[in-house]
Amino acid sequence: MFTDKVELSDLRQGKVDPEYFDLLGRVLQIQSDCEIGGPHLYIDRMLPEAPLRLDRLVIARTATEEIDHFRKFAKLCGDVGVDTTFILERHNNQRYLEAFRGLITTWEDFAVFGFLIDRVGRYQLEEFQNCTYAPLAAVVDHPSRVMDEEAGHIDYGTTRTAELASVGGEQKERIQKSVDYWYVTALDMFGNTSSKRAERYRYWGLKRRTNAQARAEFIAEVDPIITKMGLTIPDKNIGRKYL
Amino acid sequence: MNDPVPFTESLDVFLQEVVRAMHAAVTQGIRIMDSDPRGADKVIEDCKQTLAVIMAGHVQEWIAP
Repeated sequence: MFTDKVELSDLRQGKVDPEYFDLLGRVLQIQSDCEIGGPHLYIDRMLPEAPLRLDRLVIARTATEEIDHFRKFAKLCGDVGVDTTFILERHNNQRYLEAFRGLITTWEDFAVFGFLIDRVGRYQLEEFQNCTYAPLAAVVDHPSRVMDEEAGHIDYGTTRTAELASVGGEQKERIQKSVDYWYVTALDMFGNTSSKRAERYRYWGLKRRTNAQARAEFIAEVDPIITKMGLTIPDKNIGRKYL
Repeated sequence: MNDPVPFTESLDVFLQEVVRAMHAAVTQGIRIMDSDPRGADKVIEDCKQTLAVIMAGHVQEWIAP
């Protein structure tokens, strides 16, 4: 396992293995895509249509924070010669992860997106904590504004989901339907259990957990929350694309 | 390694300023939403327009000298 700390100057001086450089550029580009992918999903409909004025303001703040996260990852990319500007404008259907394709059109989906998908986002960011590329680790190592803001997005989504579930009746059915959809999407975001590339990320110290480990930890975290909300934990296999 | 993308610094500075301004606007909007709901709505509308510009992604236009 590779454990050296790599600085930007090491990359510029060609001191790292080409595979390290390729994997770093790839993961930085994917992370940039994920950061800006969220606002592209929900701004058009949710910013004007959220139920309360406070919700609309929180959505504006959330999108602002995601743009700031994009900025930080775009900077890391740009410094190593990877252009991410096209990511800002590209169509949702071209997003790297399926979770960011399409459009969020209901308040239930927006709430559950924060509850589950932003939480997967936190897991993705945790992979980079204390990683071998020092400038990347610096963005997410404690204390990290990015991690704090993501935690805020998750809390907001979790609180709204719980509120909607507590209403009962048809409202509860609608939020269960959203949980059913996003839960499976979230599990798929961790990738294939047998991914060879994921192992190379770990070898080079760019990620910490296997895909299966991260997914299992996520399940252990969210299943009790779903149960506490009075909702049903969706089937973990139906509709899955990456097992 | 490839050379750094030429406009990396200027894009970073531009977006940082946009984020700072929007954060301040939203904070103000939350502060006044009970006493001045129309003012808060104006903040939301301004944010909507700014977000539309950023997500349209015409980076070269933003950072042109």
